[in-house]
Amino acid sequence: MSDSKQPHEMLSALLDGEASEFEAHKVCKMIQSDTHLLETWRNYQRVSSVLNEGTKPFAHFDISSRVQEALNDEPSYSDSSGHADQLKVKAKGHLFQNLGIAASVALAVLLGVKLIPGSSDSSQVPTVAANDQTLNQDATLVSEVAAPAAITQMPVASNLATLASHGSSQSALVSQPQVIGLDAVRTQNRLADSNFVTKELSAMSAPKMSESDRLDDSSLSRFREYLLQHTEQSAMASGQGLMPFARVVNFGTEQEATDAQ
Amino acid sequence: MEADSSDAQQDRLLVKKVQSGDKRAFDMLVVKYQHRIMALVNRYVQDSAEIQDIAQEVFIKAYRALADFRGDSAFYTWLYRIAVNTAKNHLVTMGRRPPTQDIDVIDAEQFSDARGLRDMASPDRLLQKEQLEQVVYDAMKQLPEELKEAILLREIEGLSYEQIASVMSCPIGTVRSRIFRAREAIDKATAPLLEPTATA
Repeated sequence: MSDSKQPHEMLSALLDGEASEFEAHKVCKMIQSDTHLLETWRNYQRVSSVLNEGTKPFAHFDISSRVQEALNDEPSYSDSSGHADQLKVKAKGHLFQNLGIAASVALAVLLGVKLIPGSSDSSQVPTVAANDQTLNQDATLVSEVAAPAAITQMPVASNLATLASHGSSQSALVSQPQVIGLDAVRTQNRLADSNFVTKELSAMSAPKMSESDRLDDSSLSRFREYLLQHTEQSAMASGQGLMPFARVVNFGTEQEATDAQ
Repeated sequence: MEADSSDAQQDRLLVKKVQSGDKRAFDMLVVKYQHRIMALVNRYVQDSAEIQDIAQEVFIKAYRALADFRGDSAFYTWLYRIAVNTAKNHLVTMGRRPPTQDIDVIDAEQFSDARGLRDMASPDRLLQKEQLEQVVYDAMKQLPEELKEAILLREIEGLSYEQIASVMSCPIGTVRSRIFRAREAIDKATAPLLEPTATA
């Protein structure tokens, strides 16, 4: 085989994917300086396209020269060229872009947590604190209710002492006031003059209840104003509070309408 | 197919050449795949001028993105994806709706018709196309039987050299030589037609 035919045969084998790596390297090297070889490569491909039914309609097209022209201004891929540097800069840009996106998402999440009512820690802390206070108060109430003896023992004891003087039939019971619990008090109340004890107990507890629960008109109107403001703000912050807000706003008119009826 | 895997290996070699600064290697890839890409784009676009424009864009995009090609898939599979996306984007840009179903890469290789291709080329070019096909078929007919059989098994049946050697009961080297000689004969016959490179 002549030397001129050898590269063509290698080219033919390369076209079929049957050239060895050495031959492929050699042909690629030769084709860089020999434009005739590239033309042969083009002709082989064209014939191949004519023989293939799928590509036959396009066999007479050739856009390779157009692509070549368009890529003339493009930098070539080589380590020394600016292309690699451009790619490195591009990769760095992508890194910073990704970091920026991650930071933005984190900031948005933090702001969201802070701003969404009912979901932020800052808004919950006072609520919890308030709840704690309420709980403490409730706990006091509970302890007051659950352990009435502790509260009632002393006054009841003193009252029972008074009670003792009212009837001799109850003196046996009254003589052991230190072990009196609520049940015992109730039992004693049933046995003793229930009206008197009730009066005494109500006299002890009634002033406390009336002081805390009884509101004058100005306080009541202030309370309603606070309630309205609170509900309004809740309604503005989220749509969830709209219905309660409407109810609070209509409360006065509903009340008036009810009163009018 | 064995030939496909070695073909992919050789593509990878050409890609490495491009990545190391050899632009001519990219020209070889363009020449090798331009007709397949145009046939693929024809599934989305029917106008021949548009097909060529899109195909050109596909190769320019491929060249610019070649730094990202790591060889995890075959070069043609990678190029195929670029072509499909470019064709779809072209349709969207033109206010047309791209098809909802993608064409499988294997289907794209095996279809046998140009889908409603509207070739707006000049009569001269259409004549050239018909002449080219006629000359190739005539040249094939005139080939010696062993060369004709070898080139048909390769080009039409897509067999590897090893498979052809098995079918023809001859060494692989002989198959390689016969295919090359067949190509040389056809090239000689078509040369007068292809002297000035037919461009769009």
